[in-house]
Amino acid sequence: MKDLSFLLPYFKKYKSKFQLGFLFIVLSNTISVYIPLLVKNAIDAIKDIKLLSDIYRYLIAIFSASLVAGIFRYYIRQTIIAASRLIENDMREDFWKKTLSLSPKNFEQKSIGAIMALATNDISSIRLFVGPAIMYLTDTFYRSIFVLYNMITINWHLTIYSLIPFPILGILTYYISSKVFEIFSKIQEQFGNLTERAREAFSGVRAIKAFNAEEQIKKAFNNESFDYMKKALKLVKLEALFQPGLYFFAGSSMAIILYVGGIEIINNRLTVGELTAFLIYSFMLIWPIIAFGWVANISQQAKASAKRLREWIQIESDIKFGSNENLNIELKGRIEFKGVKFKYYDSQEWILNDINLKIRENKITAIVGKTGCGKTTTANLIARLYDPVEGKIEIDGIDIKKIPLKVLRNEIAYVMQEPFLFSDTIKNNLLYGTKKSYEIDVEFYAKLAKLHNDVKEFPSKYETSLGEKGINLSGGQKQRAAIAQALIREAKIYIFDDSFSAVDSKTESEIIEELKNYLQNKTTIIITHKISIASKADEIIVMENGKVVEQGTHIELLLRKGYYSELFEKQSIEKELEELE
Amino acid sequence: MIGSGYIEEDSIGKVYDVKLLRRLLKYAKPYRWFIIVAIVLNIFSSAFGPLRPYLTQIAIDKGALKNNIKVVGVVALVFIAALAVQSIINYYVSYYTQYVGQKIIFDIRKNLFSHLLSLSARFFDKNPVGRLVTRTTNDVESLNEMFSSGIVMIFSDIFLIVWILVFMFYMNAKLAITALLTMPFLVVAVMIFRKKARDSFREVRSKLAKLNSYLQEKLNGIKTIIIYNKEDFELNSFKKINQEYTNANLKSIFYYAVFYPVVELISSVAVALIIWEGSSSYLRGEITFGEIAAFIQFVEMFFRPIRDLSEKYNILQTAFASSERIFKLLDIKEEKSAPVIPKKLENIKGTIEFKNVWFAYNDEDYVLKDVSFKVEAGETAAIVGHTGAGKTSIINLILKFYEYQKGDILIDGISVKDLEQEEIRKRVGFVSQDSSIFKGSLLFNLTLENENISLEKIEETIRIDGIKEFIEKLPSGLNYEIKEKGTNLSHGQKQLAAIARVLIRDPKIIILDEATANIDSETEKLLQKAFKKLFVNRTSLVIAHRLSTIYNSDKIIVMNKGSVADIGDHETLLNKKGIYYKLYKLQFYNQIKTNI
Repeated sequence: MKDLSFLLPYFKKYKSKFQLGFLFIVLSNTISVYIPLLVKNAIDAIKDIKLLSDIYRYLIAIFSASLVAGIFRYYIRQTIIAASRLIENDMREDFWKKTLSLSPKNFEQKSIGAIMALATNDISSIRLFVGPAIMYLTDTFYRSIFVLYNMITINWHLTIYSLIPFPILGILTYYISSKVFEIFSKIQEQFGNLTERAREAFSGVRAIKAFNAEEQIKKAFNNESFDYMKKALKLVKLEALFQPGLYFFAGSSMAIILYVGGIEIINNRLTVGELTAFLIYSFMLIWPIIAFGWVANISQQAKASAKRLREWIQIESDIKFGSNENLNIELKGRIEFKGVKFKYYDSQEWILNDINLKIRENKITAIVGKTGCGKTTTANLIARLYDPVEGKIEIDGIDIKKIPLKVLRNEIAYVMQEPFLFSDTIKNNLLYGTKKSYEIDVEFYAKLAKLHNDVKEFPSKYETSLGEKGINLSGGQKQRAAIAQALIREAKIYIFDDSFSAVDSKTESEIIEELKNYLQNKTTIIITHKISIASKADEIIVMENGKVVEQGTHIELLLRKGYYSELFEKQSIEKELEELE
Repeated sequence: MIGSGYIEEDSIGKVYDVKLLRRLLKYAKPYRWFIIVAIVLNIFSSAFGPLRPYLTQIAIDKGALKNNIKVVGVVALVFIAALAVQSIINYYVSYYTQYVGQKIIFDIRKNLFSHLLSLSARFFDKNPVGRLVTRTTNDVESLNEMFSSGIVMIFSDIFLIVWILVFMFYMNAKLAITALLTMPFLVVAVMIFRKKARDSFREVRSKLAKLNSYLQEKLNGIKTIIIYNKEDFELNSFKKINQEYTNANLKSIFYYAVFYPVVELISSVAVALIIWEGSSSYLRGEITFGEIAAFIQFVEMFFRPIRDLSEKYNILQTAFASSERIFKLLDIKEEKSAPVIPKKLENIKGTIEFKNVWFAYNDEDYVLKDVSFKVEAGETAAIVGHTGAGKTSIINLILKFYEYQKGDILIDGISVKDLEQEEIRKRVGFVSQDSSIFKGSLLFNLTLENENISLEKIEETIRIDGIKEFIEKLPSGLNYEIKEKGTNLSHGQKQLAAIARVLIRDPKIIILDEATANIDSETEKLLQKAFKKLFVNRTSLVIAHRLSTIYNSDKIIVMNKGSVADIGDHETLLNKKGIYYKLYKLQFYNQIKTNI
């Protein structure tokens, strides 16, 4: 119940809509149940010539009753179903609000596919419960009561006989629908296996071809596919059983009415009109029985979905917002790591193992080291994408946890290793990080990042769309766009994580020159593999296995004959190779 | 090359033609007898529905009103019997039609998968794996609904309508016509609703697609949002998109909210008309009470299938959209330059020769330029070169993944062009860099269920040094179940499995793309042992990332920017102090250091 009670606040918000909806349900049922009675009266009136003139009144009454009931039915949907759509809307909004407040660590614990499933499948199945299920449940509940009441009023004797098949019908419906639910999840699982087979085959297609193994892989796929079919057929069998079974039991109720009712007519305890009304009524009762089974199922699924959604919405971000004491602080940009240790949640090894370092303000610091040595993690900790497991990081001597998160991140412009641009125009992408509300000279920054000449060639210049419906940027263009994006942000601390790897060496040195000029009064951190870049920094930090192993200027480090000078040597050979021809 | 191109996503909202349906029905052909029998049974069983009101009429007129209990009893029994027969027939019809539907889906999926696997490496270069997977799984799945519920239900609905008409006219033509007076209104209502509902359904679908792609993209770029403090901004843009979707949904409620009551209203008019007409007919003695009661039931029965037909239409729409995407893939035909008279590599010795080979993936953008070299039978040749030097392309050409533009490649003096792909791949063993491991047992991964592999060969292979220790270390040896994406094997273990896979086939030529990933020293030792067996008595071409491979090779082919820069043995090349010297220092820097 805990899981469904999580939905209560949403219901409360649209309480009046639901109340109105329930009222309409009661009203429409009161009226529509009356229609078979009118039919009965009309038919019985035919027999009695004296009453014949009344027929017209009955017919008009049938029409008007159906019209009024119809209007109420219209409003039932417009209130309850509409409310369910609004709840869905709110729920999805709350989901996204929560999602945006989480930290990278939270995202590592759940795949994007699974998070998407929350927003689509789960919220949809809750919606189905909140709207249609509740509507049908209340509707059929009232309808059954009204129908039963009228049946009993006409002839309680016949009512009891006609209801004999219904308990069986109810049990059958419940049993089959719960079985369906069970088989359905097995089918889903097998569908997953099938999907994985296809993925594996298409991504390993070269190996398959190299071993002439097409036939065998096809066989493996077809086996999965066959298994899937077998499971699906089990469901088919149940469904095939359900419909005819339903009609059989519902129909047998009619047979009983016919037989018992026939005898009652002979005994003059029932009129033909009443018999007809009874037949219509028993027909009206079939649907409620089906609906109960269906609703039982929907609520099961909704419960499971609500549980998943509740768990996500109740996650606490591990990055706290920081205190409010330094709200109006102005950062200078001196960064210090004090005994910082860090590891990712699912890993045993320390990614950063006791890092102590100082990054000076208004200087360019380069961090070099092998892949996996902890360079990116260092940058991530400064931007508080993660918090250190041990030790602390200070900016201007203040623990960054004590700086409000918004203030801290506002002063950081971080170009990530794999920059991500959205499918929007180039201009909007470049302006993504800006805090200014006035018009910004995008071109100026694009020129700094050496992007302008590329953009000039695009069909609609800065208004060109990126992504699916637009153009795809090359790796180098993406990097330069991300650099421009960071420059437009206007921050105190700039971090470039391997941001020049796909940029050619000539453009690279041009950009570095521009950066040196433009970022004179900023703290700049450049993470790189390239000596050509690192050599231009004021200070170089060399990391290895989560530790700082060397620190100094280009010349100092060359003389030390360590990792840095090795790297320098290797890259000179590489350069020679490049220049050969 | 027709159709190797990128497959465009199509947009919703197209008009589909009969062609598509006809093509889909082709898949139903093998099961036509099933379908014919099902349809015949359907015609038969739909008659039972309208039979019930007819029986009601007899029970009332000939039984109840004539004080004949016997007739009432007999009719009630016939009623139950008819129900039972109908239920049983319906069960079988419904089961077998869905069974046929599932079979057809299975066939289409099989066809599609096998067609895709037959396509060239070029095709896979251009089409993302994810999309191909969606086609073979989800899109085929949406056809299921069409075959299993759509088509059958449409048939039974149509038959039901026909039978009701037959019964009504048989019982009383005048009353039947009276009841049908409301038909035009119903048809118009259904048609308007169908159009409106379809339009609004499309609107909802396109808004949903927008919402989903927004979420997908933002979740992928979530770090950018976080570091730029754009949470509020993104919340607001989401609100807008979310609201659009909700509005589309709210709009669609209107059509449903109006449609169902309108159908009810029309049906109540029909009932009123029957009673009205019935009353005057009764007075003229043209009609009985039972008939009036029966007609009222007919009307109830008549309206449901007509109302439902509009829903079925939507199912067909979705299925057509999917089938179009599937057929687009199935229609891709690649020109394959199969040899006119394919030659065989009987008694293969294993020489490989490149003669002035030029090759480009696209147009004139040559990645191999005038490449010539020869590897004699039994030799081990290492290919070295910087990134982009053309090493992988050489492998791709020998295995006939691509066709070269100029020059020739010869195996035992026979041009690769005169050999069928299967023939080459039978004789050449290939160990790829990522080792391509599949979900399944280790044994499955080694044999890939090739029937030509004997049990003795398997036993022989698993006794080879290096391979033996590797298999022994796994909990259940050859039966070890490898998980999706081979996550329960290390890089080194995967490569050992890939080597065993080749050894089991005992080919004369080996092509090996050494893994660059870090391999722990223990596994590395096993690999070295396995290599010893791999290179003996075979011609081997290795893209070398290991120093030991270089030392043990008979010749080294130095590639630079798509051309052969030099060929020779390690000592000679090193002494030249040319490209090789630099590459050697660069690539093997760390290994040299640790070895010294």
